[in-house]
Amino acid sequence: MTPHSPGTGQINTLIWIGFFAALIVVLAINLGLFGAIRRNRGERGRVATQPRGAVGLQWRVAGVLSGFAVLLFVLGIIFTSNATSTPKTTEGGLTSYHGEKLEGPLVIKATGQQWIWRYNYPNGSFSYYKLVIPVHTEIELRLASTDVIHTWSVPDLAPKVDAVPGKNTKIFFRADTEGEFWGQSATMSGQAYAPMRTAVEVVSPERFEEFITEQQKDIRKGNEGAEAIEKEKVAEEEQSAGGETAEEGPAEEAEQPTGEGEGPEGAAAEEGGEEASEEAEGEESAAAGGAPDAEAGKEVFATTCAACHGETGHGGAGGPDLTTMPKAQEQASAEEQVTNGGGGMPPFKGTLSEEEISNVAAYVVEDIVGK
Amino acid sequence: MSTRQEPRPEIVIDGFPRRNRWAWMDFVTSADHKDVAKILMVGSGGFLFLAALELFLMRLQLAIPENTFMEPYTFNRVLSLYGATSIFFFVLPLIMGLFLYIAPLQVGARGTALPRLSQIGGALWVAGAVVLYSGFLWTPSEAGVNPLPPLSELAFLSNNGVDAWLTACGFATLGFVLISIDLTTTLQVDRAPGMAWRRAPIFAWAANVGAWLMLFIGPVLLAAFTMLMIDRNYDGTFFADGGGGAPLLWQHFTWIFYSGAYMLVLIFAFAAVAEIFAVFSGNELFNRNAVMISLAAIAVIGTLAYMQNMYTAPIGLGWKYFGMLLSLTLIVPVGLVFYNLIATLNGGALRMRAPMLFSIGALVMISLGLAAEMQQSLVGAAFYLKGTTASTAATSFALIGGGIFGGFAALHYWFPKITGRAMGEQLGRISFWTTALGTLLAFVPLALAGWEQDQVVDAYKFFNHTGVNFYNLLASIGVLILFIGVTLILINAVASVKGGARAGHDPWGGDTLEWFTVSPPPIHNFDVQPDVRSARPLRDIRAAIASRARTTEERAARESQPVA
Repeated sequence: MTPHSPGTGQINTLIWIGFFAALIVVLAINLGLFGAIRRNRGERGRVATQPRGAVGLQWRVAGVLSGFAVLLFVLGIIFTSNATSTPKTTEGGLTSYHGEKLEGPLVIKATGQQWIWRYNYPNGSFSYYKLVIPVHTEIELRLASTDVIHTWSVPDLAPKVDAVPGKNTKIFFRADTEGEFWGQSATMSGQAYAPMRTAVEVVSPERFEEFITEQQKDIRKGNEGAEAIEKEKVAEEEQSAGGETAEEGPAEEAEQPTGEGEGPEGAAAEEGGEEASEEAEGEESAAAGGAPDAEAGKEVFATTCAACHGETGHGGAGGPDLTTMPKAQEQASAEEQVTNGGGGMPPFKGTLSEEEISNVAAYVVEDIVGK
Repeated sequence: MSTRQEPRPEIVIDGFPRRNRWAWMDFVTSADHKDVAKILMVGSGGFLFLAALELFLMRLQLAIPENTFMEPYTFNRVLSLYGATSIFFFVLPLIMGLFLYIAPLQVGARGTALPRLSQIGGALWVAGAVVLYSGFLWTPSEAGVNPLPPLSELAFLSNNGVDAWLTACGFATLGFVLISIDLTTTLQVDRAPGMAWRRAPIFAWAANVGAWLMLFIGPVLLAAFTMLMIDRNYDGTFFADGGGGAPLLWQHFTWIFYSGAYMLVLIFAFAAVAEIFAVFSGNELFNRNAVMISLAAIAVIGTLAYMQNMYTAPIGLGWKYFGMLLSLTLIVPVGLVFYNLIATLNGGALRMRAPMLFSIGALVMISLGLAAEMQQSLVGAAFYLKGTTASTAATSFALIGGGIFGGFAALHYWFPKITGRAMGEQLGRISFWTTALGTLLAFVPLALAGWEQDQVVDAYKFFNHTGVNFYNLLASIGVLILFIGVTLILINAVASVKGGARAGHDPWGGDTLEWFTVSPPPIHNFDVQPDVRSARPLRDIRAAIASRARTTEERAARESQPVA
């Protein structure tokens, strides 16, 4: 680990203190042990002559050991309380926010779910996988979990902390270096636990404001697009005519969660990238209109679902084999599952357009399960 | 001769008419503590092989980055199986088996006080083993080494694998608890005349402390298992979020057990090493009172320090400091034990036989493991190190040191008593060096990978370009060597049962009463219960025999002098 925040600097020092204490212990025990063995090798005819030990000797040894323990305890408390103290925003940090003065820490909510982290920013926008924070700013990260216990860990920036369902935990930290830092969930959380990674991008306060504003705009557009599709469908049904609708607006603006799509390799990590490529695809598949189109769904599946459910849908990096899932047998239940998620699967409402959802559901029902 | 001289009724079971059955039927239905213990020990040997194999399979998957040798769910199943096998079906039964076999002999008991309890305990343990490994009949658990709810709740793992896991480990734990009741009662009431606790062998004292410890921690785990079973099968909400459940409660319960079991392994290993160091140096255990008190203190303080496993959990910082305080307090009793064990060697004449080698290996591995645990018991350091492979490495060093090295030091030492034959010395040395090399090569790189690169535990794969490729490859090679070493030990043990050199009744010149009886001991252990006058009763008996022989000779010499 290379500390990039005041807290992790303290943690690093304490680790080194612990290491040297451990080194002393290991050396003392092993030098004593092997010295005693060398000195007392039984040669032929040698008779054991044990020296008597006084009780006072035990007290002296115990005294030395207690002193050592007390020293470690005190150092442990000093460095731990330093590491957990709240670091205040310093020069060059985020001081105002949407024109308002920022009092206290910048509050960000991190939610662990199988198997991705979602970050909610104060203006209502959110991102998956990657957290963007301003440099030199006190961050209050509030952790929660929607399903099982996850451990949020970005070693260079902050202490590890568990996100336990039903419990709200928070940690405070301040990043002092701009750049990207990666982290990995550290509590076994099921099948795709290994690729459940996260990244923290530390940017300048200006860039941060830009980012969350863009993010908010994107999300709003995505929501509007989804509503527009809904309305259109209703209108179409009223007309009860199929017809070419060639409406390409709604899907293309599907919300793009992480801003930048590129992340380190790994299934969950690619979430952002997948959605980015989704956008381009939306334009083609949106043309399909009324009936769900399994052909178009195939592409959605390859980019979005295959990461967990495998290329062929027979299970893989975390997702179950679709042919064994009862909900994948019928169009309606499959659509519902993709839209709302559940059982470990994230909801895709807002990520995929309704059209894409029905297409991919059709692909799953007809081609994967139907085969 | 320190044998009591006044006439008293002697119970002779030797001539008891045997029922006309097969020998193995007698063996498996026997309530004799030695037979129950043999079942536990033989079984635990087999499970050691399986645990090492499972560890090796997992390391095979983790040998190269982004390996696709195993599916994620397969890895998680092997991981869950490994956790149960190594703890509940290897190390604990080996310890309980050795305690149950040796401790009653050491205190001169003619059997245990409540033999049926041990018998039921052994049967329950076997039942647990059967349940765990018939898991191929259904879907095995995927919940990991410690099945933390909510992951182990029905909503997330809906097949019955977790139920089977809980049943298996629950049966085993219940078995250990019953055996502990028998053991602690025997050690309390059936000691030979004159054997006050201050004269009892240190291993018997450890058995007593360990049995009491199991009586406290076992039921806690059983309660947690029962609650999770109710959650899963009868709509309970003990650990489920929502409905007032608390996922953290499980961590409190299970960490009490796991910390206690950890301490049990340490107590066992320290006591076995103490016996072996004393006998193989020709000395007495240095300051046995301090060691006895320290072992009891380790049991109490170490178990109460369970919260040092929960430094990242949402509990108050004060509780974490409390956990750190207790963990660091352990430095005193553990340090005293180490000091006195090493001081036992002073002025001795060491015989470097295989039990001695394994004992030294145990102390070295435990010192590495506990020193690393000490580093990780500092709250701030654990904010980074917890959940990394550095913490796995620390635990593995201590438990392999205590379980494999300590366990096989004890087995090498007491094998002649159990079977009448000695384990092969050459193969013993070879297996020792193989296992030691494998352990170091497996867990030192993992500790470095965890410390430098934050490699996490229990993950079914690691990513390329994260700087841990070389460490993981080394660790996988180390585990392969460890697996070979463990297999060699087991081959040695199995081959020596029938083919070992006949060892006689007291091959090492021991000081404690188990060497007073014949090898293997008869069903009633002792024909006469000797009076105990010191902490080294057998030495007294030898001295008494020698002096009587001398007196007889002198008298004979005097009487046969020619009347000149």
